[in-house]
Amino acid sequence: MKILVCISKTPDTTSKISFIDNNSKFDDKDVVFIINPYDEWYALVRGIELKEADPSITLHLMFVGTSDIDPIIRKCFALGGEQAIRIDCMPQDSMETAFQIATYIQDNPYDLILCGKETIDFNNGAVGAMIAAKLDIPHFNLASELTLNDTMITVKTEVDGGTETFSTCLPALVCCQKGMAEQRIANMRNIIASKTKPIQIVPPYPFTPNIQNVNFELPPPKSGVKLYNIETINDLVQTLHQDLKLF
Amino acid sequence: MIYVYLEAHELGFKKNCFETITYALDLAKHTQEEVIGICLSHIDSNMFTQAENFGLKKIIQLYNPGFSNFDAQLFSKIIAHKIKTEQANIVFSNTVQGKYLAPRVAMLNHYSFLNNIIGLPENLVFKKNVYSGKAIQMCKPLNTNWVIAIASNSYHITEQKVSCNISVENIDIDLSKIKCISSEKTSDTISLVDAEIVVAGGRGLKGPENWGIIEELAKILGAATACSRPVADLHWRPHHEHVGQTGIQINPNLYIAIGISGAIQHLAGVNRSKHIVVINIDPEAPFVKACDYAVIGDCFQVVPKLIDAIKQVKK
Repeated sequence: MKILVCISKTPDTTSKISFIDNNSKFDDKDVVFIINPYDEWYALVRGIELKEADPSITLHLMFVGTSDIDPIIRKCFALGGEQAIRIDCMPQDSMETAFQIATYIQDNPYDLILCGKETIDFNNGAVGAMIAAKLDIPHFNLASELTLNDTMITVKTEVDGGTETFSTCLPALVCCQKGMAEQRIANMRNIIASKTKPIQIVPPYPFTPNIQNVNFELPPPKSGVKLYNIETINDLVQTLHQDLKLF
Repeated sequence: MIYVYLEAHELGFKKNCFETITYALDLAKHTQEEVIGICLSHIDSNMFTQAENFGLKKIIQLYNPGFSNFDAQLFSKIIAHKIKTEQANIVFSNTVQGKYLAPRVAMLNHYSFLNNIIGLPENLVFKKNVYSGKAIQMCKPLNTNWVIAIASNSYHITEQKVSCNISVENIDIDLSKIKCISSEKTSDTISLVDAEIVVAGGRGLKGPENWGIIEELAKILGAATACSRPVADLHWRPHHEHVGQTGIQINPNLYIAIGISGAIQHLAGVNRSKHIVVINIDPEAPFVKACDYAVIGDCFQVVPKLIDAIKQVKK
């Protein structure tokens, strides 16, 4: 059984978002990068849990990025990852990331692929679905539970107004969210070991980008908050009801 | 030619379909293109009327008697094949099904893929929400053909009566590889993602026994109820109500946050709401600075008074 966890780095949630070079590029000066929370807390930790339950499982971590992602890879090792693959390119969009990972998997098959539900920078939530499409395998979005049973998985997913539980034969891909696993903290033994665990670097596969980034804008600032108290609450209701027609 | 993916549920087409239909019709105005609905479920007379009321002149129903449940792998292949044959572009909504299908279809055909789109493009430059609503990216498809998914609740809906023609095409499909073994409805109330108004409570409500005022306010507004992360972690409310960075991201027309201080992780999940009202006892709470309207006061006094005031205007 081979499991691959796909992991991305993202700016920390509290980062100030600003742009440089005529607003065409994210300003990463003074920005702290973290493991994308959905990839870390849910996909990676669930992968580690499965490996702990069955040591015969091979668990690999997949990254697409240049060497500046290496500190993030070491952080994943400190949580318990064993071996990492880094495809050495700077992807321009979700499709390029998915294309790189899926092409690698076509040459090096895995039974189960885990991703986070989305990255917190571009919020596309598309890489998992795209990898699955290229590999022609089923995928599940918004998965909150995953059990592995020989060559089958059972996955609980969120759907409109409820949840649905599916089963399927492997290979399959699962995009993980809250509920999948409990957050972990690195222990000292893994932190020390993380410095020497292997990262296999793979050259990128040729890809023609099909999206052009023009530039970025910040959303218009809030026009300022209007304050009310219990005495003036009728004025607020009038504004919401008559002026904005919200109800 | 622009296709629009039509998603059905027990009450007909989902509300988001009318948003995508209006969007596609407006987009097609400049290019004089034809807009065609594409649907993989049974179309009843109610859905037919809905399509006619929202200006859709043609629907193609791709049909196979073996269809039972939604299967992203099968559906995406059928749609990808259809739009490739017709050299068409396609508009999805960012709903649960749209998020399954749009990226798969784009990948299968190697079309340009853009999602979380807000508003119409200018010279094919589309605007999309990024960084959890903290920035907008302008980007352009480089392929002649594209797949886009528009952010739900981001575009208006225009009613216009036309006559609609449905053609049914029988198609072959592979066997489904997935099996649904159980399904659970969390509640009969309005789904958070689709809701136009959301009422949320935080730790300021002091305990689950005090949620009556939240539910009553939601009921008179026809709103969905939500909560902050600490409230879900304390098991005061179920996890599926948690909105925020790690919970559900919402974009209603009106978001009312009661007793929620507004941690940055919470804001990341709700700041795409069009209008935000905060009710908080603490005028220094971060949310007070990040909202449109703030009522400073004790929520146990403010909310009942708000309910009375809304009942008055709704009479």
